[in-house]
Amino acid sequence: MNLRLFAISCFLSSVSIAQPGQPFHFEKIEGLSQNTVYSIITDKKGFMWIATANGLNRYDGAAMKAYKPSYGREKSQMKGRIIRSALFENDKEQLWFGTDRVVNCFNKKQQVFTQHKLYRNKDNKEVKEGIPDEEIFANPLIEKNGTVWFATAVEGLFALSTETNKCINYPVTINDENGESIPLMYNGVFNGKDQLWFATRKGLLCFDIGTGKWSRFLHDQSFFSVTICSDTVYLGSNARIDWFDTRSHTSGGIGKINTPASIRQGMIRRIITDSKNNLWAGDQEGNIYQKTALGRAFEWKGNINGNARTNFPVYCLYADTTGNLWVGADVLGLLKAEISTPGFKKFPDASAVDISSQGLFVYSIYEDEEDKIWLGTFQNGIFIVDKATGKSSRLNFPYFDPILPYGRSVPLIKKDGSGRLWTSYSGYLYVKEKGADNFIPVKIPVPNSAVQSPQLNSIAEYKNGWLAGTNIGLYFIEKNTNNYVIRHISNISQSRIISIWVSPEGKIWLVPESEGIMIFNDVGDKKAGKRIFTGLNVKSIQYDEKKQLVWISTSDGLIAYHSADDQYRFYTERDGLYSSLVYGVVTINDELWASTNNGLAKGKLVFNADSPFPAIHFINYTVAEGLPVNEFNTGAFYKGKSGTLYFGSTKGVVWFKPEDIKTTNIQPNLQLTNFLVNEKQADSLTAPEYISSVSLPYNRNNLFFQFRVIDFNNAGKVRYKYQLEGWDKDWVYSNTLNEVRYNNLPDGKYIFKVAAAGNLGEWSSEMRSIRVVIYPPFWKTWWFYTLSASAVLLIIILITRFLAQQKLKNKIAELERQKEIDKERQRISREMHDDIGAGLTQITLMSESAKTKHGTEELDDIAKTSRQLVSNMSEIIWSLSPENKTLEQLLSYLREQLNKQLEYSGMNYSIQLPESGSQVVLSNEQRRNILLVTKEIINNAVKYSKARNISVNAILRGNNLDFEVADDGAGFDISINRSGNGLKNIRHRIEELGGIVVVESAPGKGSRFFYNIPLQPTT
Amino acid sequence: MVKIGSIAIIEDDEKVRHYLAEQIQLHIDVAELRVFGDAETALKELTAEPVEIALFDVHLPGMSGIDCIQRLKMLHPRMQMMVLTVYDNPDTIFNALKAGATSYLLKTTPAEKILEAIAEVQQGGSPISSQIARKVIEAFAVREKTNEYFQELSRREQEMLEQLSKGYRYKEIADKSFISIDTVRTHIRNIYEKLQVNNRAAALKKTGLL
Repeated sequence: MNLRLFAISCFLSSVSIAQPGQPFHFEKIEGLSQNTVYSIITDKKGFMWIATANGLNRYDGAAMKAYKPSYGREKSQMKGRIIRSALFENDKEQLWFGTDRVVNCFNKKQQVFTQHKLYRNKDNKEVKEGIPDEEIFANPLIEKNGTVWFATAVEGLFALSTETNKCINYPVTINDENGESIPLMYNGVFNGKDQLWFATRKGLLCFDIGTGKWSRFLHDQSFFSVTICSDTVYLGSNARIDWFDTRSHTSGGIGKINTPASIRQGMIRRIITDSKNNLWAGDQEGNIYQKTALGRAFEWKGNINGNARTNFPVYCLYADTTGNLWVGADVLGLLKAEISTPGFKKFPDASAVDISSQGLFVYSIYEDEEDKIWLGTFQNGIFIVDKATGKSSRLNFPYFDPILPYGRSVPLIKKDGSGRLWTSYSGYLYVKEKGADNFIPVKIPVPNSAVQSPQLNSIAEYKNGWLAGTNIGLYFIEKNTNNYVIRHISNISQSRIISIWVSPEGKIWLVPESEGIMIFNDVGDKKAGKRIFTGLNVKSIQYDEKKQLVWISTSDGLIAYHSADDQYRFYTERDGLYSSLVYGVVTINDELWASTNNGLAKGKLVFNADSPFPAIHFINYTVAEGLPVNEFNTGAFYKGKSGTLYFGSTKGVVWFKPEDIKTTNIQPNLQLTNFLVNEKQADSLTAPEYISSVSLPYNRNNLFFQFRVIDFNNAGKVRYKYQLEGWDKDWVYSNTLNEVRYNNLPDGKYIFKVAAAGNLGEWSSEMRSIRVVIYPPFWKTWWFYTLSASAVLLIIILITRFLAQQKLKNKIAELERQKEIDKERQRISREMHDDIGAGLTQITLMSESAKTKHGTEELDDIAKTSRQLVSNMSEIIWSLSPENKTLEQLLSYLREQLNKQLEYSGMNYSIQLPESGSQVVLSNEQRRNILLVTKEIINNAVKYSKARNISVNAILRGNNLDFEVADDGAGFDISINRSGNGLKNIRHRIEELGGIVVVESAPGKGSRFFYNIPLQPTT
Repeated sequence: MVKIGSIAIIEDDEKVRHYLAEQIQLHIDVAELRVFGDAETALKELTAEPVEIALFDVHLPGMSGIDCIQRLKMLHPRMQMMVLTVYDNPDTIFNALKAGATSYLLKTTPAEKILEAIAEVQQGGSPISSQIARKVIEAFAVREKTNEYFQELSRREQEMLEQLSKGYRYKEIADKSFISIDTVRTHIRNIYEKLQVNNRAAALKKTGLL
């Protein structure tokens, strides 16, 4: 094989446009109600509003909501079709704009349009502007002290009070040199204090709101557009921008704008200042220019229509805070371009026309000493790209055999440890030695003489040469003095050998595509000594020397393999990877970057003492996060010298410096976009994004919520979680589903909460919540319950009262009856006794009288007996009297009676009776019997005992009354049944009371009577 | 023998009247003895010409004995009046005492006892029973606030009434309080008089004459 040195011819065929920096690529946003855009703003809630020639639109990054005008008489609708004015939002959630008919004010909360007329001073006629091309409608500029200022083309300014709806007209009082009034051009700007500046065809006009005076500058110049930055006004005219200092009144030109030669320039229709004090301008031909805050000149940044020949005018511009420039144009509608330097850079981008249409499959990457990227592609040879300029060129190879299939594919460009650069093309191996300028071609022998195009897929230094893996088996390469010899060793497998690695122990690891890993002990072995992960489709192997781990990328995840003990650990989607199809990894310190089939994943490795395998915390990057492309490729990953990482994909190569990839933590702007109850708007008076609470009757209990994160960067991976507090026990993780329905909710108090998470996976702390109260039907309300409960309670109370009253009545009746009985008793006894008593008295007196006349003993007896009877009657009356119920009274009476009995008996006597007992109530029987028994005993003693001494003692013992009557008289024989009823009577009476009688007596030994009476327990 | 200036008997029962008159004349040295059959005559006669001691039957044909006692007491406060009853019915007796009687007597009292009672009255004593004592206590317990003439019992009188209401004899009470039985009797008389005063005052107040 001859070695032929040849010169690398570079840069023969430039394919991309050579520009300083890359022009913006503008993407059209679909869905507008009409594609002529006059104004773009974002409101306080984050929604974007777009004014078109046919209605108003609201954009949230995903959906476009159109507000079309109405031509009828209905109120609260928009009137006027063409919104050829600025859009202005004030503090009261109102959006002001002028249409071809009238000034409209849109209340965003209530979703209602109101119209306001502007009246001229001179004749009080309503202002109606015409439609001619360069004239404007009433253009709201600012609101100051509740007054919105409008600028019109020929009628000057109007100050409309939002409260009174009255307007004052300030026509332009300055005339030009010809004495004609000066019409104002498209927009005016406010300097933040009290001045409005206007571009006109006859110079620069200033209106002072405080004084109401106009002033004019730059008389001889004609301007079309104006903006203000700090205190400097910038004025656009035909392909030119001038500046004017509002304080010093000095001015100057920025001059011609730096534009590529082929660009056609036009009138600068619009200039704006963004939040970072950059200036942006758009012209009649669709060109966009930028002057950075610190820059001196405007630079051309691109054309909204790309490279097309037809150019459309730019009408408005808006630069947002998330790195996008929005352009409203004629016919093209709303366009968006990324203006911030993304962390991720790619080649080719949209400006490279030729390649993008085919797609550029990158299989291998190499960064050379001049920092250029070498891309080995599928059927497109090798591209060498200048990162800074984006220029690229194809590498020319000396040998090309058109017969060989897939000859143009370059699966490998690799620099080995010795500094040699290896690649292959169309059946030839090419090696460039260190320091050499040229490649050395070596034809690759094909063993079976089949018509195959051998491609170098992998290479590794081995012993005194190199092992080369190809699509037709394993080869060995040696250098002999000046030559490189390559010879076929064996067909390890049918598939190409996509990776070779020689382990520190000298084992040869071969990775045939889709057959796991084969580990050979020696190069000549036909069979592998060991096979691992045979079922897996292994994509690549990277050895991490520091961590002693082999990273194996497979189609089923990333494996960390510890060859010493055969231990390994899988990392898949479950560990946070967006895709388990991992092509390859690049490790940097404690991070690794993996290219997968769904973007790139940055993994933070966390080692702990327990395991040789780290835990990996993945952060994924897809197109949503700014990655230009999602599908990466086998073999296409590379770590450059300065830490730049390269990943090859189906659409070219992506490169970046890891430190430039900031994981910005922007809170997702979550808004409620729809809230329906029973399929109708929950609140017909308030837009869903403004609703905070709603009250519903019990039968409106089917709820539908829809929510979305406003994001203009196409963040596809927003995830949502929501919870209806009071119904859902916990958060429901709905992933990307952004709506939920609740049917047939029971009455109660609920709070619907929803939160969103961006690409970092962390839930934003800002939630949206709506309070929903569903009132119970009246039969379930508290007042109904209370009412019925009180009714029931009332009934219970009434019944209880009634029963109590009945009881009381009964008791009273009972007492009454008892009283009646007593009274009756008394009456009866009294009547009886009166009669008897009277009679007895007579007998007594008569016998007394007779006694004195005749002095017989019998008469004496008669008298005595009748007297006694009277006394007895008296006693009966006493005991029947209801007043004498208590024990105390009985004892007092008894004491008295006994005293009477014993006073003149001739005996010594003592009476000891308890003094207390006022609480104890005695029955009639008790009273009678106690009295009679005691008196009887005393009577007998007085009559028969002839005693010297007698004592009567009674004590209260608990509930018993114990009596003891003792005398020292004659006594009697108790065993003999006396004929007299006396003792029997006594016993009878006491026993009737439930008491006991004990008699002790013996002739000559006196007598002792013990008797006790049980009493009622005290009540 | 007891010596009394004049005695009147007002009793509608002829037998009883005769009996009493007989007994009194036998045993009392009385200068004048007048008998009446009804209260009206007695009132008229005695108003004109009072006696020292009058014995009233409670139940009289027209005006009741108690009524008569009350009127006579107001005209002749020093006339001692005694009521005669069949039983010692405390209600009747108490009413009589309130009206102005200073003693009471059972009709069936043996002759010597009658004379004793009369003597006692003449000497300024008054009988009492436990039931009457209780009634007296009750009467004094309720103090009419508006009656400035209300007489209250003294401490000693209260204590004594207590003992009497419990049925203790005069002797026992006297011994306990280190006073004589006569003093006891005097106390009782005083109590009765206070009772009468209060009663009268209340009655007069009602008629508006006080």
